[in-house]
Amino acid sequence: MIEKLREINDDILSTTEDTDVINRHVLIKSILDDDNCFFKMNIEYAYAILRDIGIPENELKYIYMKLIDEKELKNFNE
Amino acid sequence: METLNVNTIDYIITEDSLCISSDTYDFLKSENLVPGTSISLNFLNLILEKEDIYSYVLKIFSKDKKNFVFRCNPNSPLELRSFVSKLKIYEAYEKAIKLNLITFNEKKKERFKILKEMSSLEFYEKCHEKDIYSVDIEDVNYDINVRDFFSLLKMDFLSLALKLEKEIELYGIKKEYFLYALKRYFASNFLETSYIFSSYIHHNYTTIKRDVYADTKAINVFYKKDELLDELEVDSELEEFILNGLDSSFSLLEKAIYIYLKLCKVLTYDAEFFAASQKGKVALNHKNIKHIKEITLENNSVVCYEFCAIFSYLLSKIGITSNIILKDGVYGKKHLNIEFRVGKFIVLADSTNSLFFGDLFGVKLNKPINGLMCFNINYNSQKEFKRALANVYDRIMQEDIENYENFLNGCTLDDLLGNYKILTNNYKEIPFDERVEILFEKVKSIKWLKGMDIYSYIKLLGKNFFSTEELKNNVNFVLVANKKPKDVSKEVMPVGVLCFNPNGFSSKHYENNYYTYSPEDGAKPISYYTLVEMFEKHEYEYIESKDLIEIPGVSVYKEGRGLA
Repeated sequence: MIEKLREINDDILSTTEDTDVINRHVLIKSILDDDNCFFKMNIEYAYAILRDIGIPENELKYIYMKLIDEKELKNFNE
Repeated sequence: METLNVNTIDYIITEDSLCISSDTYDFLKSENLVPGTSISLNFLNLILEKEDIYSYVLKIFSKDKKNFVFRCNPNSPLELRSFVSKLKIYEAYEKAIKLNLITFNEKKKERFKILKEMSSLEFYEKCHEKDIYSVDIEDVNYDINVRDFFSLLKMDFLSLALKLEKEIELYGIKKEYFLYALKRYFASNFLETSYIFSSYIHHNYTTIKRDVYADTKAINVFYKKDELLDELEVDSELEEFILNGLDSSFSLLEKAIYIYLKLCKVLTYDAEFFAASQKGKVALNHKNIKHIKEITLENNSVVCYEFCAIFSYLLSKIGITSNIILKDGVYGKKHLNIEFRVGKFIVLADSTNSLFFGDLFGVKLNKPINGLMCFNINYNSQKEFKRALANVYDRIMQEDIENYENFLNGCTLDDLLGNYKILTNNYKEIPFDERVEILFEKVKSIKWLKGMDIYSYIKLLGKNFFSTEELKNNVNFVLVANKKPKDVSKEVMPVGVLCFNPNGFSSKHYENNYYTYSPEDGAKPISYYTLVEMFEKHEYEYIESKDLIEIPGVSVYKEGRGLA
């Protein structure tokens, strides 16, 4: 699931020329680098990132639930 | 005053002009104009009527004189000059004939026929077909047969198009050089403005003039190194920063573009100079070319001529000579821009064509470039230039991203999130109740984790759903010992007790919300009183821990409770 978000974020980076958008999405790219990032940030940050990536408002909860699903914990080490 | 007519005017014909009085001048120049032209019908009639003037005109037409010249009568105090091109004279005749303004007798008809022939390009060609045109092209002298120019122009359009597209050489000379020579020959002899071109020759000539099939724009364009650059010193760190980024795979044009864009990225317009309206003591400093060595990566404010000077200097480092277009030959007097040649391209660079919207600012925001202009009119060259510009701009953007990424690699997740919050408009508070609801939904969906892992997972979610303050004052999840677990083979098992209150834990504990959670039973609401009873009956007990957290309203120290 997070891999898909990375792909979408990379697409945004490769198609934009707007500096603000680039800076924001380079940051998102760094955040998403960590497979367990969604287990380490609060829900508001998670929703913000999903919105910036383009997830519609009515799908945020569904996607977020998937991202923090127990099966997504990969060698999680706090 | 006697009315003038062609038979009554006085004139003298000299070697190169027709001398007349001012009244006669008006009569022949301004009166009775052929509609749609600036030529007088009186003048046209004079030519056809008067034998000596007709002969004079023939002399002009045959000797490649461009214009018919009027001069004043030597006895008149006024000096009159007018230059009427023979092409305009011919076109005026055509117009006058079309409008039936001229009546031809046999003599006039014959005279006009000869004039017409002599106005044609074919006539010129016949007179010059054996000529050799000697021209220097890119420091090499070429002798070209003039007849070859006409041979090319007389081809039918499709054959010409094919020839110009496919062939590398024309008549033994590089195609671009030959076409350049043709254009130059026609221009220097004013052929287009002096002779009648047939429509297909005109079409072919126009195609060549517009560089449709070959780019001749940069031929014979040389820029001499500006002497002022001899005094110029550029900060070595700045120079290194710009030039070290040059990719070896770049073409020379791309390298020039890269230097321009990089300079726009690192330099900025001098605010003090702007505020001083570019005058006074502030301006004086910038007018001294020695000031340029003080411009560095940190002290990066420049004005237009400083930008041009630095750019010119850096171009020279990669073998490109440029021309800083000085106004009145003075550096620092007015706005400057810079022209340079790279191969077949002639480029103008002006990073501050607009103070607020020019490239010196715009490149920092990755806006479209508006200060780099390619003067070539050939379509393919224009396309090539735009492609080179786009390629280099992409590369610079990529560089920025890589530099930013490298910087971010050294940051913690909290740093990243903190920076991210500043850059996003999408960070929104989620109401407490909604987060509780989502948490419950998530907890209910747990299927895969077992045992203590479940409780660890719930605690982890709790940290992400609620702030530190909320975990202290609004929501609480404690593991206690259940001494009557559902699994009767076990003596004691953990059970989670969740307590939450959106308004903060109340001392009237029945106002808080309490839930128990176990893998077997999931999340179930429990009243405060029932929970207390469970503790008092020792069915539930606190688990000994140095970080013991109490359930709100269920104190570990109350008599009858105690630890497990």
